Amino acid sequence: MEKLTNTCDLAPWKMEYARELAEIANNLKVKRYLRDAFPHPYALKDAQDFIAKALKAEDGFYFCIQAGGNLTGSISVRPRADVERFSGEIGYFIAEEYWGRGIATEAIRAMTHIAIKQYGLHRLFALIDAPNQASARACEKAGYTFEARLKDAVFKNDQFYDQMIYAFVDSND
Amino acid sequence: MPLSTPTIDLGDFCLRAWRMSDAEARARHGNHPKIIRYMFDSFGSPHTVEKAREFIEKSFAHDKSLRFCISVDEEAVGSLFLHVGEDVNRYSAEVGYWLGLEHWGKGIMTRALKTAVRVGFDNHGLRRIHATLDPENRRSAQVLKRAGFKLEGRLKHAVCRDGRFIDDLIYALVSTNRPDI
Repeated sequence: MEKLTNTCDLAPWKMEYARELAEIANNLKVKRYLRDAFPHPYALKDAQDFIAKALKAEDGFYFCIQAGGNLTGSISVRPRADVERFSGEIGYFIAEEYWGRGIATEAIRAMTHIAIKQYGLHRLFALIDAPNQASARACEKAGYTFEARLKDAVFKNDQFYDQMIYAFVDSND
Repeated sequence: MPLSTPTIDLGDFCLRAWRMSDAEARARHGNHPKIIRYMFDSFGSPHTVEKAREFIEKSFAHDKSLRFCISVDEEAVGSLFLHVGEDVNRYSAEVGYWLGLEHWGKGIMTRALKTAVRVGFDNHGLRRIHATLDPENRRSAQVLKRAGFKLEGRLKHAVCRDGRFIDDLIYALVSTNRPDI
């Protein structure tokens, strides 16, 4: 794997990471800004199902984030279709015990590089719940630009939130 | 939950469900460069009767989208859809539309959009309706503004057409901010 970062590595998923994934994902603080479909409690079976989906890579490409030999998170890009096919949505989460170390920033930077160089995408964007400032900061540090604030686009925990779009566009075209 | 398509009579035109017999009229009105240039590639260039049939067939799907035929004297002259989002975006829908050129300038599209907004908010409990559009499509921007939509941002190089990257503008209307229409 190409060395793109100092603090973490992106690696392909392996089924043997399921137990570690279940451990870091079974956390309401991690789930807080993810989709409702993200399970809670997060069981070993949920981890196995996710890794199976990641390995099939039918709707996008999925990597695990590793630091010092430990699983520290998950990151993926799902390309859009038709006239938007060169644009992909980036999504990620970091295990709580690794928050605050710049791992998300490094992982976003590495994933963006791979998405452009290896998968031929031109634009990457993240949809971030407005209260999730840590995620917005990680995107900014990774070179993403704020583009729009989508009023009341998200309904979660019985309330509406705005969703922010941050994007990175390949300048080599 | 599938949404059923109501028939709404607005005097000089109707919003109603698509019928297979609309295919020829749909192709006749939709197959124009001024319409095709802002559609998805899957719309087809040209938008043939065959393509029109595919779209009408799809409109019968039992999903969370609402797909209206805009009809004048029973003739299909345009299209308007609301695609409802999923998961945390389930109270949000994307609206899209087109109208045959010979019916431009009569306010049909603005009234159709206002009506769809009302149906989306009042009948389907939506909170937010948004549209993305080509920055050159000023006509459509006017329709959105007349219906109370606000510009939220510009998505850089979100669209690729004929090998060229272009931006998308995103406009939205939220039910708590709706104008009196």
